[in-house]
Amino acid sequence: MLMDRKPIRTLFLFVLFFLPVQYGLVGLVSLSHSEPWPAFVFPGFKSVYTFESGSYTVPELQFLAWSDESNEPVEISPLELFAGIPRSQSQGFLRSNFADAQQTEELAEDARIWLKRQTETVVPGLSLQRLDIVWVENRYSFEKERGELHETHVTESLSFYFTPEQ
Amino acid sequence: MNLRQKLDNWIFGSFQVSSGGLGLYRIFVSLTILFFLVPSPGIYGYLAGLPADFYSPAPGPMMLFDRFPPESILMFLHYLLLISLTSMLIGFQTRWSSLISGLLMFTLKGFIFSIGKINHDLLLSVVPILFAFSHWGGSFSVDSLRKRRTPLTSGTDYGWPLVLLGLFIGFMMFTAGFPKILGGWLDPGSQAAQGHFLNQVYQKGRTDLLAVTALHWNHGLFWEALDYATILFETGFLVAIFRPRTTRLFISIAVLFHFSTMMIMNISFLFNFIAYAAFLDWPRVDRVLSRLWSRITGFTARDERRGLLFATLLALLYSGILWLDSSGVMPLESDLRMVEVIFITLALLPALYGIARFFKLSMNFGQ
Repeated sequence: MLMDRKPIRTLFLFVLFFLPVQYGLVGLVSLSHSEPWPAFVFPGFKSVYTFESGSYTVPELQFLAWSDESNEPVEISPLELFAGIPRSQSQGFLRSNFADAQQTEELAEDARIWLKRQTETVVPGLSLQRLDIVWVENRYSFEKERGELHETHVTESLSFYFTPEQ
Repeated sequence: MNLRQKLDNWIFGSFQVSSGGLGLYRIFVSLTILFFLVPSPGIYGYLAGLPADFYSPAPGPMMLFDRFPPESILMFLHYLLLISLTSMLIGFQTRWSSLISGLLMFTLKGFIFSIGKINHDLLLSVVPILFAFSHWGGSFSVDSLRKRRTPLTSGTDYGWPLVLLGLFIGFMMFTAGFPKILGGWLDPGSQAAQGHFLNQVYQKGRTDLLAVTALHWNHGLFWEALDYATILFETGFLVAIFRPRTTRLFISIAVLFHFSTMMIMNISFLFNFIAYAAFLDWPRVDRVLSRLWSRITGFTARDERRGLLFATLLALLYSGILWLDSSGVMPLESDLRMVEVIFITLALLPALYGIARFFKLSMNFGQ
């Protein structure tokens, strides 16, 4: 059975033209937005991290749940609060949806109530009155296994208040 | 030789395929996706319950939606995916089932990635769509039993899907290497790979396998050598794809590369192995299987039922891997799965064989 080569040759010529063009578009769009999808690209890991000798700084997002302002808050890790998000995507999810206090403050009412319900599911018996979202930078030493926490620096924080009816 | 002849030689003269070999690859792809790479159905209910504010699609077609669809729709698409993959496995309406499998995988992944983080597993959808136009339903299939396909004889004319897949992989690898050059990975004063490794350990808690040990490898020269080797490999891929032997060499090196990143950074990229496996010498695998089948059963080596033997052996192997995964023989703390560790470690065998074969052939050629 003979095969018609012409359409396949045309397909190859199209792909040879298309691949660099779409890569250029990915670069352009990524300047102002997140990386487009789908695209024929692999992750570039372009960034070169610089760190002081002997230490390494890691940004972290903390969620503090208050049932009564006079009590101590309960700290909930993002992995617990968003347990349904695949772990490989959890950091990206947090970066996209909790980039900073200004963006997070714009969360709609239903999203805030969703956070309340999730918090109360993670901490059974808790009646949430206030949820603090705190952006911190942790400085670790990487000389020792798993690192040793040297310093925690709070960069931003935001509080959501809830009524018992919500 | 003019440009068109060169192009034709590349497209239609690079890779030897056979109907049996393509059929075995189809079985491999279908079973590997069904066993390990289909999205977990547990995620659909969670996504559907997320508020619209958390629907954060990447720029692209998923922006046509303004929130996650209901769980029932996602589950419906999931079951359709399982049906189409099974249909692809048995070779029933192979072209359509392959196309539908690729498109459904693409759609479901699109929603899963709309939580604000994409993964780069596009090849998982590309392989079934691309090979829908090969003759991978020509053997070991319901279609071949119903004489819907004429089994093709061995030849390189039908190897063009492999060349195209190689082009996609080579280009995508280049897009991984090129930004590293721009980002300063080649600067001897910065050990970029080490920085990313520390990021994986401290920020993502990826501390399995050799990760904790590698924390003590504080030699700048070692990490700088990794920076250079990574860029050389990723950008060199785009040149390698124009010759079949170097394509196979770089595919083998890719397996070693993923094995190393899995051991140190706990990143697996298992989905890419579906695409890499296309470059195995499947016609040869089929010949070995034919001889084995003939010896065991006494049937002719052309008997189509040897495909069933291959599918059964592969399904048994995969079931064993899943059993090991669930038994918790080696507990993992990161998001790496035991399945990925075993699969990628097993993939080292053909990869090392491929590298040894390349150098043996090169030495023979030199003599």
